[in-house]
Amino acid sequence: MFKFDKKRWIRVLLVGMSMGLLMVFSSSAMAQEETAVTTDQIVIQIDTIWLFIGAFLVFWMQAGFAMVESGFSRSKNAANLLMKNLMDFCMGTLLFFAIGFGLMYGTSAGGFIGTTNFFLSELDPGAIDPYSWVDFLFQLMFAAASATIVSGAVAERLKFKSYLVYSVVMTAFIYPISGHWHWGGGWLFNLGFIDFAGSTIVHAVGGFAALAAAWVLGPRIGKFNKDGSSNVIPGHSLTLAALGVFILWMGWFGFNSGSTLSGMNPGIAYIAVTTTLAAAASTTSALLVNWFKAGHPSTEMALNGSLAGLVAITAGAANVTPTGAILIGFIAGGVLVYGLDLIERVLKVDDPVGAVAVHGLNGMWGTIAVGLFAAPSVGLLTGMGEISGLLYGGGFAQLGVQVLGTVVIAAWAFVTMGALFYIMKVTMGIRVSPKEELEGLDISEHFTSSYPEFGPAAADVVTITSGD
Amino acid sequence: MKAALVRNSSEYAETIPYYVELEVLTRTVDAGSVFRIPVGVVYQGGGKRFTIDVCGFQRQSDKPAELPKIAGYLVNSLVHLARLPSYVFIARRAGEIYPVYTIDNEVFATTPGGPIFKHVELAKVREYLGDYLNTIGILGENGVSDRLHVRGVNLQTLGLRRPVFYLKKRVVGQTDFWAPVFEAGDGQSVYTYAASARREAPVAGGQEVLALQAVVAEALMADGRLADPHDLRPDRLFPDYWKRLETTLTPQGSTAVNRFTLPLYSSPDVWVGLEPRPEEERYSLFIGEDAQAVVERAAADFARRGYAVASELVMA
Repeated sequence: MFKFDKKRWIRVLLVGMSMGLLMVFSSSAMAQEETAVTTDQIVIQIDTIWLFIGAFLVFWMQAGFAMVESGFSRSKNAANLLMKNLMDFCMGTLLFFAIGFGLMYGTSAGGFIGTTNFFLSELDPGAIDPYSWVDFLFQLMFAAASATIVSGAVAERLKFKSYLVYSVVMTAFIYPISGHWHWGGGWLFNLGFIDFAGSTIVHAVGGFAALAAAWVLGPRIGKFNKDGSSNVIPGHSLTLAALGVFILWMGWFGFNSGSTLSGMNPGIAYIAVTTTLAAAASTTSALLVNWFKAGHPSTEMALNGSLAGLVAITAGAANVTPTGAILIGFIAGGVLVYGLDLIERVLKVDDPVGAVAVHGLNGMWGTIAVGLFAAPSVGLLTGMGEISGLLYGGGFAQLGVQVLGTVVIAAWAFVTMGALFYIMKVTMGIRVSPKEELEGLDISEHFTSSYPEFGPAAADVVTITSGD
Repeated sequence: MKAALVRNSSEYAETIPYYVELEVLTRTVDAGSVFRIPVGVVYQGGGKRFTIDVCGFQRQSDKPAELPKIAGYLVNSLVHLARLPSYVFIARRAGEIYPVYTIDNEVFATTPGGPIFKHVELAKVREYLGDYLNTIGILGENGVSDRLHVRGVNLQTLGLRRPVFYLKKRVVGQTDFWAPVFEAGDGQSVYTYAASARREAPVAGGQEVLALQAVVAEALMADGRLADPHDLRPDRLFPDYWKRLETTLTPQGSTAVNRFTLPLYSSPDVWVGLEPRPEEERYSLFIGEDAQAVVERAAADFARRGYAVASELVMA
């Protein structure tokens, strides 16, 4: 009778696996002996791996946005915000692949729009060209980042289906077209506009789209009083929001340093340094300015201060000195604090997470700041060219281009997105009903609950004991 | 948290047979750590039930021994930012209570899953919360349905306290002002919040009503929210408060404002016209530097409230 000998069979298995691995490695070694690896191939591979790391880090920012936005929102809407951050990436991936990438990086028609490479038709899966694929992946992450900025500004009252439509239009058309003007070699690129990693191309586009969306959508119930003053609608978890900010900050190293598009660029570490200096300065200044203004060191403001600095330095990370980065960050903190006031108290727009001030206003500020702080020596290091801002003897020329570029792109995003949300408003509707808003979008839109094990407070069910 | 049921051996034992004694250590920062909550008795269907009231939230049980646990649970759920509510707003018809917390000089009204309404003045918070509750249908239509009623919280018994009176300004064309006045816990003063601070007047045989009115009026004038100090009127005084104040005033006959007859009084500083509110068993005052000023102020207020007022005012 056959007796199963466990030890014997393990020995056989190990010998077999060893022989197999030996054969694989010897054939590989033989192949390598036949084909020498060239320096160019190594460089391409380094660049590819570098961009992979960058793409993964920027992808990770999507998680950061999800945490920040859900943390700054009420628990009854947390799942809805997670869904928006997931689905704008997924819709964005499909649409950027089909249309957006071609409009952004295809052959330019007059410097305004790309016209080729839709569905990545110009990329050959058979060709040994790993860089083109990772380049698409990297650019896709930026498109998704731009789209997801809006979800925070429209949190807690926008219909989910309207958000999906918005995501499609944003990643297929709005972001790629203005992106083409600069990164696609369009008219702004030809004017010498500088936006290294996208303070305007990514963030101001998202921020001003957010402003248009929140404006057309209207404020949440209870946000504003009849006398125009506003109420705090606290988010449910500063812990999540803080985690999100740390994730975003980490992801920003991929966003900015990755935007060299080459691991061989000698400026990659330098860019990471300017990125962090600006973020640290902005966090500090947002904290201090608000402390001076409101009388207490606000956690929420400090967290958004970090993001404001990161957004602001994104345009000039490869062009400004460390001192310049710190100054840009310090001013970004002030832009944030007073920008939030402007949006809420003057414009009366309800932006639950502060997306407009963080991404829109600081995206503009950071881009304009390049025209002030660009130092030629830094541009030489990072491959951006010998560009001089106003404070480095470059005169007003670069500053003018920066102002022009950021204003035109912000206006593009605001007008097109305003029109889109208005059209959706009068056709399919964009806002959930008051009842749905009160019960929360988790249950009304997704029939779920982010925290099902937390019951209602005892105080919800009461008997009145005191007459007048 | 320690909770115990203690038998009441005082003369009130029939109506309050027990107390729940709660010791809340390290939970609250501005209240005492020991609370003594009266346990009342209600008779239903021939049976007897025991009841407690914690900041307006009432619970009943057949077995008094269950009440300490229930009270502990209620107190736990009401502690917010290490504080118990200092006031509550009550939407009576809707059966809802909204706790109001005080941090420094600001008061916060919280809503389940909704905004936090925050201001230095309780009146503003009431207005904002009221508008919100109108919007979401808790209070019905604005101006024609239920209103929010304010109560103070006694931080020894956690029972509710009614305001002893209100200070109110309602002048056409100017911003309104409204502030409930409560007796301090030790009974030695009356206080309210106005113009970003707590305003207080020591109990002085009834004159504290006018003393607090003067303090608040001065603060509001400094704040630019009151043009004439006498436009701020003590409103809806408790009967015993009015009786105490009345003993300090000199009767000066009465005046007629159309169909209303206002008894007039004077004190060293102001003249007072009395408007009884029999339906509420409360008393509201008009004040002015002389009788004519009181009459004019009363006439203007009656007109604002929609009462027909004769153009000629007759002193009785």
